[in-house]
Amino acid sequence: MSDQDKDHDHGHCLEMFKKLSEYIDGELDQLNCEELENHLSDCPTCKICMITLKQTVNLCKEVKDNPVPESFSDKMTTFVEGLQKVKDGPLPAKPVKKL
Amino acid sequence: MTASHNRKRINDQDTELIEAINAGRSDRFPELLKRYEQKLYNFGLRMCGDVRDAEDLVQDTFLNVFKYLKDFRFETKFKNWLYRVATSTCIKKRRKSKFAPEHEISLDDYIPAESEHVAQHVPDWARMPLDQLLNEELAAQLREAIVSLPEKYRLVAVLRDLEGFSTAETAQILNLQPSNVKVRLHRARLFLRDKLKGYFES
Ligand SMILES: [Zn+2]
Repeated sequence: MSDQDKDHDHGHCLEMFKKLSEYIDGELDQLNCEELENHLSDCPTCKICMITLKQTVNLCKEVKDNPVPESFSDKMTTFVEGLQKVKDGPLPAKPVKKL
Repeated sequence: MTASHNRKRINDQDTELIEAINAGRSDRFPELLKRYEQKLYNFGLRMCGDVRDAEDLVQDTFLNVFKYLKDFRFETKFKNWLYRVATSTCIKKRRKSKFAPEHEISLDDYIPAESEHVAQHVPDWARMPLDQLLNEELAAQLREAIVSLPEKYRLVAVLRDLEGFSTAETAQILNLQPSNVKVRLHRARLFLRDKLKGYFES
């Protein structure tokens, strides 16, 4: 591809663009990985795309669990303890709507 | 289950407890609840975006676990089986809802434009360390963005990037081909990135 053409081969960009998540996840085989890295090193558009996508993924992975509200936790304990008692009888056909 | 040809028994930290429950110690069932209550509650929050619905999901899932635990064959980790139950419970519930309309996410919407001469540098938010970046407000934005994903993409994104399951595990939980998981995940991530970009640039 010609170096004066900043956008170079857009078709190739598309092909590379589809593989960015697999690249981020380390799921590309060596050949595809090398091809993509070569592309990223001379295509700033795809490179920025990859970096922002990677940051998005990292943010998702960083999201922490909320604690379970104590009142709900207590209700759930009562609920499952109640299940044992009906173990020998018929179970509710449909999930109980309200706790 | 996609791995049904694979009859290898998987033992994990829950095996002993489940065997005990299935052998008649149903009084130990609440222990199982305690182990997974927080995980499932947060899964519910991420999938439904609403405390009430998340609580319903936890309750319905444990009711189903209680009903079907005897059928668990130790062919996967218990946790993966639990998420399979939770996921199908969730899908059944959402089907009845008008919330988050289903639509396909098209790659074309996210491909950088050919003539995109703007932003030839990495934006600040993508350079910042995560602990400086992720405050309450951003976490709320992210949650909102996740909830606005169409369900089939949301399930994959939540299982892979928030719950931490591998591609293979997610495929098994959702009964999809791994290649399908990858395609959906990529689109979901592009959607989320776009929302974050919008948030940071506005
Ligand atoms: Zn490119």
